[in-house]
Amino acid sequence: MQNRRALLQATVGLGLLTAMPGGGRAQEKLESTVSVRTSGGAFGDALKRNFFDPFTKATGVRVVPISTSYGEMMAKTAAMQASGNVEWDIIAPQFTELAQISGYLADLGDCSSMPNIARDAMAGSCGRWGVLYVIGGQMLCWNPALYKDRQPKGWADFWDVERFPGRRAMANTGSPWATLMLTLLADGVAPDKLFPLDLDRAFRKLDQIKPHVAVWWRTGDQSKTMWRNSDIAMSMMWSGTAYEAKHGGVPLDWTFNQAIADLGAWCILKGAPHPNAARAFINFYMSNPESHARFAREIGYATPNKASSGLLTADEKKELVTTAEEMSSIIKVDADWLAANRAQALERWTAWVSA
Amino acid sequence: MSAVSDGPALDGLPAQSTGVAAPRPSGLLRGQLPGGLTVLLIAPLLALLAFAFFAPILRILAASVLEPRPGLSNYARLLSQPLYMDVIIRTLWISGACTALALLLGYPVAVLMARTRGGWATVIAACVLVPLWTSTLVRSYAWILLLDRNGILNGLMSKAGLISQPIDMLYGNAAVLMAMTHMLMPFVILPIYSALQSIAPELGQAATNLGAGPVRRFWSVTLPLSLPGVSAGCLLVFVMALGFYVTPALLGGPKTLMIATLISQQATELLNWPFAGAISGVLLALSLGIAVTFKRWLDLGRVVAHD
Repeated sequence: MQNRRALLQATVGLGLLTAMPGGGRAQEKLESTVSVRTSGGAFGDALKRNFFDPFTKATGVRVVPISTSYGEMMAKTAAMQASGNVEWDIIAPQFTELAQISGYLADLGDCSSMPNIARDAMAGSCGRWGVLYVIGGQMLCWNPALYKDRQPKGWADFWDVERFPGRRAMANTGSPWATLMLTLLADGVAPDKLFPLDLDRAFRKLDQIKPHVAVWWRTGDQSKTMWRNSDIAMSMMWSGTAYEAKHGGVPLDWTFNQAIADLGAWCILKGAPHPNAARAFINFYMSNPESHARFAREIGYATPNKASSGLLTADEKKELVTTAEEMSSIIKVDADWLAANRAQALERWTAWVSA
Repeated sequence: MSAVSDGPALDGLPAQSTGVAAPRPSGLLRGQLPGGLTVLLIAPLLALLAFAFFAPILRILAASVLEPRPGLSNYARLLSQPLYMDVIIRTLWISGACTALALLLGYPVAVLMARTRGGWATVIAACVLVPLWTSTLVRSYAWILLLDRNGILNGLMSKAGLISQPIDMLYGNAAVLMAMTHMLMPFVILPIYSALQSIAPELGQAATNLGAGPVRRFWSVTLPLSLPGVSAGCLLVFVMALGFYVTPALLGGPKTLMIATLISQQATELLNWPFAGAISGVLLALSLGIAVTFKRWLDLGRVVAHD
């Protein structure tokens, strides 16, 4: 039994790595487990159902999900590198934050060790330090019952309390970049002219909306419950959270117009205990369009798998950032600017929001 | 009776023959344990603290003066940016207000607990202790249910016709103060209760015999004798409040920013551990400074109590 499993494992592992163009690493043996950080909850369950379990079935490699908050993941990642005792394999930070933590990550080069990325994923999915795995947006959401005649179209309408009266909510999560970007968009800055962010202009504009903000939400959960509990009329929300709230019965509408990208990356830690299994898992993840379509339907996040969007209906696609056109229309954070200005910008945001 | 109270009452007793050669000064010897045994008994705790508490703290404090370069640059930044001093002052203010509220509300409860016998005593003790066994997170969410705009309290008040529009009680200083006071009250009630318990009832009777009314009896006998409990309780609450993190984050607004949130921001968002260490160092220094000051007051209280 043990031998058959090992043989099966070796063959499938071999198949995964060699059957693809460019897969020359036939001799790499898969370790018996791989740990993957998830944010838990419905999202973690959907990952397990659609990707972790099938991967285990195909390779015999057990996937150990590690469910932590984003902050804990980042802190633990730094701590594991500092102590030299790396326990995890794959973490899931924001694609735009990879530069900040590249010192903790394995260099993936051009991703040629994971050939399914070139074959099945949309262009740009391979980054040197991480691989794009979910695509969402930070978008304008509103309570449709309050705006029956006229729907908000972009961030300028969030500031327009005359035409769109109602209590506002804004994010105060410790990553204010999206909020600073949408503020400048509301002030008329063109999406391609956002960076470098004009912080003076952004905070002047933010001063105008501050008195109308009833709730500064700190967690995704709070952004789901505040609509009912605190009578919120309009807020920025993460698309996956908004999707979950709407399908859970919260009356909610949104637009992807002027949405700020929310891109999740999978990275392998430098010195990870199971690097081969980690690469094999990410490679496995990129194929199987059916799994991606199911995952998108269940959780509201699109994935970079190209073929999966053909399996979704037009109505389903409307709620996701699926297609290549939409992917290019959502606005991305400039990772270089962020790396250079993160601390000062966050300090200024914290001082402003707590004043 | 006086055997219940500590300190000077032991002065008159001869040293027990437990291997101690000579009677020790009463200030050092609390019970009749030989010194060697005392050390042995606290050694496991000390070892655990050294490994799991002091070592990491020293490490992070060392990082705050060694990284990114040796020197006080992290502390200079902390002092030069108004944000950090503002938040430290706000943290002190919230903790102080919380301590005062907990004392005001907790003292009568402690008196009631000390004076009640039988079934009611159990009920009061349960009311004080049960919240202690519930997680901070759960209690914070309970406050959200109560105080939210469409929460229980607003619902009751609008049904009773007291308000026509819901009031925003959540996400501000008031909600945080209320919740923190509630969470910390047991820590002021229990030391005061213990101090009140150790007051000999004869003292009250003696005061009555000498013609003191209930108010005079409280001011001249009960209150001074309970001061050690009061200062111990206040110290506990204040120092614990300084480090509160979950409750201000869940129930407060952006203006209720406390220092622990800033430390977490540096540690988890910016991964700047040396600077997080510098802020923690300031918080630690504040807590220690306050503890030492209070300790003086506490000793003073004891002197007053035994005079």
